[in-house]
Amino acid sequence: MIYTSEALQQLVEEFAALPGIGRKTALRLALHILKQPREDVVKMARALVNVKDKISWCSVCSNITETDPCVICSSTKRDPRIICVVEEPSDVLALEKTNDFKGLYHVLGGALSPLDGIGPEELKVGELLKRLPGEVTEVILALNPNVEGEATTMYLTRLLKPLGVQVSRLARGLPVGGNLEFTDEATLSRALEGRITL
Amino acid sequence: MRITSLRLRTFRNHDDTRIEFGGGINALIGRNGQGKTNILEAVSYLSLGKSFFAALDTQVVQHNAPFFDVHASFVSDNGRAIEASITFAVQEGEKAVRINGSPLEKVSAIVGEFPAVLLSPDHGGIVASGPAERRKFLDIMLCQTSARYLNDLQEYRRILRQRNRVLLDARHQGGVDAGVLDPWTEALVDHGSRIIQKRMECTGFLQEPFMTAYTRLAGTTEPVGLVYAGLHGLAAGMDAKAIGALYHERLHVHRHDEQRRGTTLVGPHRDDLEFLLRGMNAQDFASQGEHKTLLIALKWAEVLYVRTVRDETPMLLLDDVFAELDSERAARVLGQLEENGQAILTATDAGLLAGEIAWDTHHRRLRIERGTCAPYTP
Ligand SMILES: Nc1ncnc2c1ncn2[C@@H]1O[C@H](COP(=O)(O)OP(=O)(O)OP(=O)(O)O)[C@@H](O)[C@H]1O
Ligand SMILES: [Mg+2]
Ligand SMILES: [Zn+2]
Repeated sequence: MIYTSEALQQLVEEFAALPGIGRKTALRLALHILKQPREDVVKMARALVNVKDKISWCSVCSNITETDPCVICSSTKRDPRIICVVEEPSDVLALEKTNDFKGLYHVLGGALSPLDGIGPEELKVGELLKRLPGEVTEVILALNPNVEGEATTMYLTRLLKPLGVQVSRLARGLPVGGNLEFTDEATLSRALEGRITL
Repeated sequence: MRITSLRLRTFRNHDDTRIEFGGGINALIGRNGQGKTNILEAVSYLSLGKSFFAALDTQVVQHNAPFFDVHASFVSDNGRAIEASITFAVQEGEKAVRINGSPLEKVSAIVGEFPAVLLSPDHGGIVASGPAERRKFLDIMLCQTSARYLNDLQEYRRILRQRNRVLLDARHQGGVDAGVLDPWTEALVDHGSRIIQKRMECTGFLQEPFMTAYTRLAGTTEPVGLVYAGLHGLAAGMDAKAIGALYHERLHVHRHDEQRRGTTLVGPHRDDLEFLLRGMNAQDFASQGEHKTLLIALKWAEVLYVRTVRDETPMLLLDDVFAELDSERAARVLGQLEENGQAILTATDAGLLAGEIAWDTHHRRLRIERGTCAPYTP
């Protein structure tokens, strides 16, 4: 393919390097940008640079933040006795949307995966240990319900239990608002396994 | 479940082939290389969501065609009509599955919807060659009957790769960190023991119908049997918990070997399903005809298993089974098929289909020639 503009080619290559974006989509995005008013494009470029310049990692919970410690860690309204451990900052956003959790978070930055070269040292495990036990009485492990999340849960459970904190994990249940009939069998089978005595 | 009609478009050597099936025996007759096996492959595509024969979907698309499409109508045991299709587009590399017109989110969700039991010459390996083929036999049957088994198996394979990587890394670094290995061991045992338990339960079920079918087909009273050979100390009737304890113990016993070799040495990925004939391991000495008979008896037992668990009779797909059988055994196989649900079989010559079948619309013969299908006329 021959580009008649080097600037365009450069932009296409930048887009194509993003996860989940192929060459075709990259070209479409680049042409879209070209059609936008200049001020919109400047606004977008500034937003891109801002995430790099302004955002850093909270020295307490390792979540992304513009202040250190982050707004959650420094809030007086949060319960410092409970820490919820998650894989990614996006998981914090998801849990915050529930408005049900009033404790603090800890962001590991992923899950154990030897195949990807991710061991305990690559995760913020040491940072978590530094926070314990202190005032903390309970740690909730809210990792993804896949093989890596499960192994990480087991790894952390063994590490945390001897520290005298209560360790819990999320229940593996059915989607709310869903219909039993339309739930896939594997999920249903697991939910059955984790049934609760009434 | 029975298939009533099938349409193949640019699938292998079939440009656009339509077939209407009867509810009994459907014999696909044609010379070598005409496209008989390809039809069985298409039916099993809808059953497994992928090819049993080819590793890649692209190999199945007709040379130079942009896609393949398999579309079929089925009727379940209780009389419900269901349409299903599977389409693969080469350029996009995407496979789409639809049931009654609505797309399924995952291709693997079709597994178990249209249960089929397939016997092909490639299965000769089940009795004759290595344990991998025999494990695959159990896995395919169990995946078709239990979504949980499929899930456990997929996750077990992933855990195994992760755990092997830990062992391999440890070998290079001169020692394993228990804190890093243990979570993978826990996960391995958790999933692995459920897999073993299911396989043992299933082997126990197959035992009786397998023996009965063999005796009938062979016309002898020679003792035959099936044994699930796994963890040392495994016994019938153990629950997943007891198996888990045993699994931990065996891993502990082999821990030094595992670390030296950098790989997981015990578990369902190493187990075997043994065939006994006259009290000995059949793979070592059975004749070709005996192998074939053992295999048909096994498939027979599989039909009963799937029917019992799913409450749905699977379609029986038999590729080239008559080639190695003497005429008496062939007639007994046909006799058995006649009394049962739907079967689709292939033969190079109508003469191989000896016996007294009344060929009409229930039991039909079809001629397959250069990727086309027509009624067979002797
Ligand atoms: N992707 C493909 N595109 C076109 N033709 C193909 C493709 N894959 C296989 N074929 C052709 O299909 C034919 C084989 O069909 P099939 O295996 O169904 O034969 P068969 O009738 O079962 O023969 P046999 O009696 O020898 O087993 C061969 O001629 C092969 O070249
Ligand atoms: Mg063939
Ligand atoms: Zn923080």
